[in-house]
Amino acid sequence: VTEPGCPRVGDAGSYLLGALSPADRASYAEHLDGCDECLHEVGRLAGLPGLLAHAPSDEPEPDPPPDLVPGAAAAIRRYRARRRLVGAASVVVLAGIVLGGGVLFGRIAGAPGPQPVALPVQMQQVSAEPVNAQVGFARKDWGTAINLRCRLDRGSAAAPEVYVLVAVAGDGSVQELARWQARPGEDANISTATDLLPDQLRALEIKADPSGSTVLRTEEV
Amino acid sequence: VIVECFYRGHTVAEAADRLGVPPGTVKSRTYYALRALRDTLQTMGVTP
Repeated sequence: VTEPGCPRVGDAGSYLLGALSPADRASYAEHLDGCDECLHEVGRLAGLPGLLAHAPSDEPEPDPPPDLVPGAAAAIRRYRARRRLVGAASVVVLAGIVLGGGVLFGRIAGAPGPQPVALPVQMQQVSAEPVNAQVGFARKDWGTAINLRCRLDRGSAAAPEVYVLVAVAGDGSVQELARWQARPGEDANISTATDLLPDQLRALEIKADPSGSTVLRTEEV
Repeated sequence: VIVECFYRGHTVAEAADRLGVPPGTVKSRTYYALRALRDTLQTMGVTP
């Protein structure tokens, strides 16, 4: 091993690891054109980063992002919710077959026991906001169980606002059922309920707060 | 320095800050670490 004579040969390691600043990197690359010693040294060490990348080191992982665990938990929740939905949907399909058809899927979605209801109803867009929602209802002895999935498009430039789910009763009175922050690109999965029975419900609306404007609406209850 | 500069993807300046040594020290230690690794591999009969 020859002792380094060029004062910049020490940059060879950082250069190969990609750790030099862009300015240093460009400067050293230029230097390599005219310095045989550095070029030789870079050539001799060039295979090592590839080996390092395969090393089962104690420290190979970058620091995990701070939202890793909550993000993974949310992903698992979404996955489980989807599986439950698929499960509920297949129960509905089976029930439809057993009953010989003639019954709309959505109408009996809540019938088989405690599973979450399916979301057969697409709410109608009322505003220009790029938001969509699917909703499902289940008639209960005590009222109506409501499941809702609401999604604001990722690219939405809408100011941060709160969405409010309201039920409009047959007599025109309004009940607030849920409220949440509208976040672009994220599903809001909401389970709620009202004491009104399905035939007492005239409409379901999602309103923006504080503007009060209606964003989505459905009368298919 | 290898962990900071390679596995954690920091620049020399960032690694120097995190390790509390001058940037020149990060560079030279990186160089000598790679050389030592290469020499060790060579004595083991591996030619990277």
